[in-house]
Amino acid sequence: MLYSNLSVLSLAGRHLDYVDQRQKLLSQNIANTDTPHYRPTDFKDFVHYSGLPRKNKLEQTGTHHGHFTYRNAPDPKADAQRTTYEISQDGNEVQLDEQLIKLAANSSAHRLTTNLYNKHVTMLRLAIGRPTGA
Amino acid sequence: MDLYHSINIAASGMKAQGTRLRIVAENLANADSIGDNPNQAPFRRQLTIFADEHDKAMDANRVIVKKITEDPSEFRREYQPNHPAADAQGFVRLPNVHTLIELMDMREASRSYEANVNVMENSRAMLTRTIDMLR
Repeated sequence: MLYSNLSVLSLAGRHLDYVDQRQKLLSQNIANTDTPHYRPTDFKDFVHYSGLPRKNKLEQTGTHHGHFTYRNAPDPKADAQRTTYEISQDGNEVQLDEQLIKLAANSSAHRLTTNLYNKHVTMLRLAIGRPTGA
Repeated sequence: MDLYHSINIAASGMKAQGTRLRIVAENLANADSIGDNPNQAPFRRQLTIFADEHDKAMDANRVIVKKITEDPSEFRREYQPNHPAADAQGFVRLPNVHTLIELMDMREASRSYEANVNVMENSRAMLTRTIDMLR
C-alpha cells in the first residue's frame, strides 16, 4: 500500500517535471509567434517518458552487470512540430490558437497532477493518524 | 525552475510586442509628416524585425527585436500644386504609411501581447499551485 502510494508520488513528480518543461516550450512558441522562419516545438505525449509499461511493447531487462542499461523513462526531448495547418508569408509556422489550446491542456494536466499528489499525501497523513489539514 | 523560465520568455515576447506597438504608433503619428520643400523626403515607414535568440542560462529561445528598419516602398504622391513641397509637376510626396495596414499591425501586436500575458498568468498560477503543495 505504502509502496504503491510512493510510486504514484514519484510518477506525479515526473509528470510535473514534464509539464513544467512543456510549459517552457509552449511559452517559447507563443513568444516567437511573429518571428520569421520560426518552427514551433513540442514534446511527445507523457506516456513516452513515464516509464510505465506500454501496451504491445516488449521491455528490455538487464540480467547481467555487463549489459547496457536500458532507460525506460528517457528525458523529454523537444521536436519541431511536423504538421502545422498554416504557414505565414514570413515562414513562421506558429498558430497562436493551437498553442493556446495546448497551454490550456498543459495547465489542466498540472492541476490534475497537483490535486492527485495532494490527495495521496492526505491519504498518507490519514493512515499515520495525523490531521489532514483539510 | 522551468516555470520561472516560462515567465521570462513570455516577458521577452511582451517586450518585443511593446516595441512593435511603439513603432506602429510612430508610423501612425507621422502618417502626414512631409518635407517643407521638394528636395526634403517625407517620413519613411518603419518596420520591426523579430528574431529568436538562444538564452544559454535558460536553455530556451527568447524573442528579441533584431532591428528596426525602413520600409523601402514608394512614397505616396498627391497633386497639390500650391504646396511648398510640390515638385515641378505639382505633386507632393507623402509618407509610405497606410493607416489601415498600421491598424492591422497594431491589432496583431496587441493579440500577440495578450497571448504572452496569458502565458505569464498561466505559468504563475502553475507556480503558485506547485508552491501550495508544500502546505
